[in-house]
Amino acid sequence: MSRSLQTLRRLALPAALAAALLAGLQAARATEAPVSLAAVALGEADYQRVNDALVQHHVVPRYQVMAAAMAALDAAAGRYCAAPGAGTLAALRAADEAAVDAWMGVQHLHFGPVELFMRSYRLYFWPQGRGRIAQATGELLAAADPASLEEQHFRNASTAIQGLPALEVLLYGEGAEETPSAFRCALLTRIACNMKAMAADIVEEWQGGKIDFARTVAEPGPDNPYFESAEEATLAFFQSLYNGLELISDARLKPVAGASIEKAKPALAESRAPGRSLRNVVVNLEALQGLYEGEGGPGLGDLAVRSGADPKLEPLLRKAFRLTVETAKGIEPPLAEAVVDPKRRKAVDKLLTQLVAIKQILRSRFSPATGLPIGFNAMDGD
Amino acid sequence: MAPFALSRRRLLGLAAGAAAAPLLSPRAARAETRSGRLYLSCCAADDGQCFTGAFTADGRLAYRVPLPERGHSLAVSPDGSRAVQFSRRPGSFAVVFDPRDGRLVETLACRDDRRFNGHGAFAPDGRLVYLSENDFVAERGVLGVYDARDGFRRVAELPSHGIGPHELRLMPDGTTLAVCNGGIQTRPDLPRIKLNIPTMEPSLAYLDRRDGRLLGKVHLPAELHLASIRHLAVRADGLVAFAMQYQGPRGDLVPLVATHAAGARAPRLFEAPEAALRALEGYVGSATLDASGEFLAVSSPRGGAIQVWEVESARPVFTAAIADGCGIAATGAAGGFLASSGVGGTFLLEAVAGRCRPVASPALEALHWDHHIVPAAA
Repeated sequence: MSRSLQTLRRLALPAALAAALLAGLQAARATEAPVSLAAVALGEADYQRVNDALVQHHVVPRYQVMAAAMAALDAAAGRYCAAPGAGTLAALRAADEAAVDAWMGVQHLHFGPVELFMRSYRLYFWPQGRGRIAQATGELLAAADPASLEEQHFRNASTAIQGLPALEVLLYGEGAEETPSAFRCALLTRIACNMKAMAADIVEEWQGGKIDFARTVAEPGPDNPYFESAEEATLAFFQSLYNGLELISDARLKPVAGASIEKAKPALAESRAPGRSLRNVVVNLEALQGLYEGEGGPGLGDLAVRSGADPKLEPLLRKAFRLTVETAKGIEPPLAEAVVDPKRRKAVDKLLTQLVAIKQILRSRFSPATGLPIGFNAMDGD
Repeated sequence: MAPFALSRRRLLGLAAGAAAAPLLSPRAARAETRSGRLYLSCCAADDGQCFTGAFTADGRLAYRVPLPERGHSLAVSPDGSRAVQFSRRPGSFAVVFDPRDGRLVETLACRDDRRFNGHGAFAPDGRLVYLSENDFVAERGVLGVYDARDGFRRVAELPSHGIGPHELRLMPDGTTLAVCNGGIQTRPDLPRIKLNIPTMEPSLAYLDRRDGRLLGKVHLPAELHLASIRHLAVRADGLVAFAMQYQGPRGDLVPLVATHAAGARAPRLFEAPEAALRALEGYVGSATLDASGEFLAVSSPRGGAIQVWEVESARPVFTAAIADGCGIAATGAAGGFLASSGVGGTFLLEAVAGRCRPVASPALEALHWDHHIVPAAA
């Protein structure tokens, strides 16, 4: 068995993992440091090549998928409201699933047009205070004021009622199976139509128009308000990767799993009503894997190869992502039950350990090998 | 008990094994404190073990106090006999030690339904210490009041008059506390996740430390409601300098440093020049006035920059490039600052002369220095 394979076997062993990884990594740092210093010769062209490929093959196609899903959702909402019934409701729920999938596939991309006008919060404000979305949606329904759904007004209304979480309340919460009132239908279609417009705008602004974010990535420089260098733009992608992993472990899994089976909190599982808690994790993870591996062009992993500082790093991370996705897919849903079932919980714990391990490798090896910093203080928020 | 809270037993266990490792002789450490030359800061070794480190400006490590987890800032009692190391947000412990020699005095655990936000301040007589805390159940900010003469027992609680209180300082009048309410709601089961960005309302609140009464509240203009007010420094004449962390889109150039003069209706924003704002990358990690009160240093670990502004003109005078630079403290000279890096090591800045030089010190370079540096003698 090769040594890297042995390391990967260890990835699957929670107890030994952190210590083993840490010990191994420090030894590697000590012995390889002179080599890596000489080998880290990534230039702006290397970063730029990855940035352009990621925009073309990862970012834009994924936002296009989201725009199409939102348009389909809007159409399905229209059909449901024209003829409410079990069939049209099922179709609307399916369209909603596709839209949530599409969002989970871009959620890690925290910069660019999605940041403007609070779009990411308006599309998917989660997590937030307990029951706040259900409460806000309930209040809106109770008031049934048509003026609240007027387009301009709605766009500036509370983020709690604008996005996919509010739609989830309407499609799976109280009264979802009953024949909808005219106001409830108007709200459904307003949410869908508003999201369709946001998704279309995001695609447009990535590809041209006034903002042209692809150009912003393609032409870094002193006058570029977003990126002074290609390396800075790559760093934004790297932060998307790292923070994306952290969001999965810290928001989607840990609060639900708790420190032990006795401390599990199934009620905190995301998208519990449509039973998508684990699905969200898998789609998130696959998107991050795509960001690392590239999707028809080089991904972030390409930089590890090009730097030549740490030859075993790229295959190690590639395999780590594959194993982690496998673990996530192997957990029998729903998450809320898995965390309190002694047998299924093991896989959840394993997934958490693997997420920690990938982050650890990114911090201790990928970051020094590629020159993309993760600061002790810089990523902090204090 | 909540998943992230440390049990009291674990804290005490750690404390028992936590004889500070003296690196200067206790007598030498005491001499350094008396001459005002000892500085305190949380730090981490390569293996992740966290400490409070005490060191001199010329790079000698006096002692290290082991911590159970990562710490944030500290407060030192006015007589210089007690230092409190606060844990990092959302924290559940604080470690009290004698800053003259690093001897451990007491550890305190957070109430189960509160979390420490990483900062605190002593009353003028050193008896009470006020800690910024998150009441995550009621979703409001509070200051926990602890009695140093009674084993640092929690004896009262004051409202912070906002959400997410972070750094606080005592005003020169001795009764007013200035508190940065960052405006961001968090909860311990989602430790680093911001729950209310779209609706956040940061503020700088002045309150009476005796009864918690609100004495005044400063807001930023509405278009800056995403600028979380986090850190502050107070001048002898009551001028408050404060610094922000912007939660809005990357690329927005917004002021991140401001001052508020006692009684003024609005803060004075340090708005220009663009290049200076850009260097901060939307994020200031700490703010400190120099010994003269004429210069304000702010750090941006994200931008890898420590910036010194002249308070009077609201213009930047010097920027030092320090990778992951965050901790700053005033040295004795006008425009003089000591700075630390999360990568490792410390630096001496002379803003007037426009100089920054690393302090040659293998001991300090081997440690990753956290957000804040506090002088060991208040």
